[in-house]
Amino acid sequence: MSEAAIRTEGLGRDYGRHHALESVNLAIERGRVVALLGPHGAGTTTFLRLLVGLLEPTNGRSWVLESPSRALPEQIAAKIGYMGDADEPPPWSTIKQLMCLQAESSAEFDRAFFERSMTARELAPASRYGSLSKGQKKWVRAALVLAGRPEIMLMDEPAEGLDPSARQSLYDELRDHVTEGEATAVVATHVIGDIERIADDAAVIDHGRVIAHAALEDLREQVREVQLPADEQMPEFGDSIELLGSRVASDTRLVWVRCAIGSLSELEQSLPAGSTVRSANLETFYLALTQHNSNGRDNDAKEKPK
Amino acid sequence: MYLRLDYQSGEAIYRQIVEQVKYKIASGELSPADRLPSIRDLAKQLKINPRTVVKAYEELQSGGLVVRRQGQGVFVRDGQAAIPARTRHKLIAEIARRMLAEASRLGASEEEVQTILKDAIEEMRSDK
Amino acid sequence: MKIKMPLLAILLRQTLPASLIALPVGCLYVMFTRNVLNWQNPWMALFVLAHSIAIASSLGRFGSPNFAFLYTRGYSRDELWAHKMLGTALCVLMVWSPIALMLWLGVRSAVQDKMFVSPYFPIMMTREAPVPWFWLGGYAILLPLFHYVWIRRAQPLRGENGIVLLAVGVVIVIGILMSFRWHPRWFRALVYTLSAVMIITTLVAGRMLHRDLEVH
Repeated sequence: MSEAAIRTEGLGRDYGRHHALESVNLAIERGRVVALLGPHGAGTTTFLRLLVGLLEPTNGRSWVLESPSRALPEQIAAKIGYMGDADEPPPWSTIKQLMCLQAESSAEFDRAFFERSMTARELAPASRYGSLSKGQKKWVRAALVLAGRPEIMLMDEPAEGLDPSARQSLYDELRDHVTEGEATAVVATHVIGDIERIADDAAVIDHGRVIAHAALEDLREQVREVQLPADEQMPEFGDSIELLGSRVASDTRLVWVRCAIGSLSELEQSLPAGSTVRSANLETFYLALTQHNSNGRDNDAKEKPK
Repeated sequence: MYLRLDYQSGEAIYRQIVEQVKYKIASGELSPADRLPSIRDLAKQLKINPRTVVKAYEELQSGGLVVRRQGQGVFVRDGQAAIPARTRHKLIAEIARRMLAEASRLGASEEEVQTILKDAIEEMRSDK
Repeated sequence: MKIKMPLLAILLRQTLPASLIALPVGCLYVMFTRNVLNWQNPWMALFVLAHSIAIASSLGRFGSPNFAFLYTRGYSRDELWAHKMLGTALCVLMVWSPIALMLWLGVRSAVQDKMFVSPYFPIMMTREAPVPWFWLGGYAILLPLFHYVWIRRAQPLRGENGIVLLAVGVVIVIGILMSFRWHPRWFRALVYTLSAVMIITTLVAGRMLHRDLEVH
């Protein structure tokens, strides 16, 4: 069994009475790319900042490479690459200065890779960070992390604002690095289609809680979208079939389920005539869960006594 | 070895690799004793986790299609494993049954299914 | 712990605006002020105070995106703190040395003599020679204290602002003590001891608390 590269136990963070993150218990194995899915404000940024030790948890604890996040020794801190969503170097810093800054702390900084990445986007080493476009800034910050060849990569919306080809290059490099260096990556994003290609696992965060954590290979085989005529009753599913969510749209009802590949025939048998079963991609899975979650919360709200 | 992966098809990636390699062997694109890409190389080429490649190769190996030679790599088996004709028949019949069930559910007629089968055989022949 | 130049350079640069203002202001004042400078000079005391606050604040913006970036480059907290202190020391030296040298090399007294025909000219250099050391001492006492204040305020779950009041209190006390015309004989020894204790305490405590601070 591989040791957990990243581990959390009951991790939570409050801001006054607002629970930004609650009871997160996660264990991420070495060598995995985890897509952390959730909209802005769901807790993804807070989670990553807790992992890297920038914030103190209100509850629970987290460990990176078996060291506590809030007390990372020098050698471990050097092995963690972090790219914050809104964290920026000072505008007067030049790309060369940033490269040197990163290179000094990383044990093995790949200068050639960084320089190649800069030439690929025609960015001169003497350019000041403040003069770059938003996409260029993201690119530079991502390249700094990747060039450091870290063992752990924590990226908060790294591809947001990048054009599709830049996005693909970034994710490709990330995947290559994870494969080559047996590194581990957690990438928070709300643009799900792109990360589906390279991610191994998906963790869905909604309103501060991790509501799902599964391997993409399993989800591919197990999650199905069922389309029923809207006037049909919700079908009764056996225990082996998990209902993820449902929605009525014009004259059809969409139901999302998860079941083992062996239970597919059971699923088909419990469906009325005229229904179709389709595969579901990661985005569908995410929407089904978060919608279901919000429906649940709305229902709770309605049931509360006045 | 060129493989095309579909991340939206509802089929696990490792299974897609297995199926495509099986097809390549069946159509002759991969010959006996051909060396498959190393786990690392294929993982990098496809931008997937090496464990997924391992899983695919292991399934291919247990299916008798490839052999792993320590220190040398993974090779297409010389001379197919002698699966008894009855087992082979059963396996293919099961696949056929599933395909026909799906086809009828999609509303295809018998003739349509037969045409499709013919076309598929033609395609495989021309790939050889 | 080796010195990492790129980190030091960035930290120093953060203090640049403060120093770019302080240096000419300090030089001009020391060059042209007519009164004999002594250690109780209130303008220079204010100068040291203001410059120290500016330095500590420029290196203590723990809520800013710049700091979040800097604190996640792979450097350990202790490394960051050590380089911050080193950067502080260099910044002070960069501003203080020219001012002190102006005094010690006789530039001030030459200007006072030639431009203002100052009657104090003969005694100026000898009387004023020890004064820059008091200014350096002022920096040495105030900077660790102010760094400590900023670090304390960035403690998890929002550190108390009581520490600001304490620091203000200390500054006021220093100001008051400085303003007396006469000091008893043991005063100097007491001041040196208390200062040493305070400097060491604020440095050690600052380093410890720096490990725990939060960057939002």
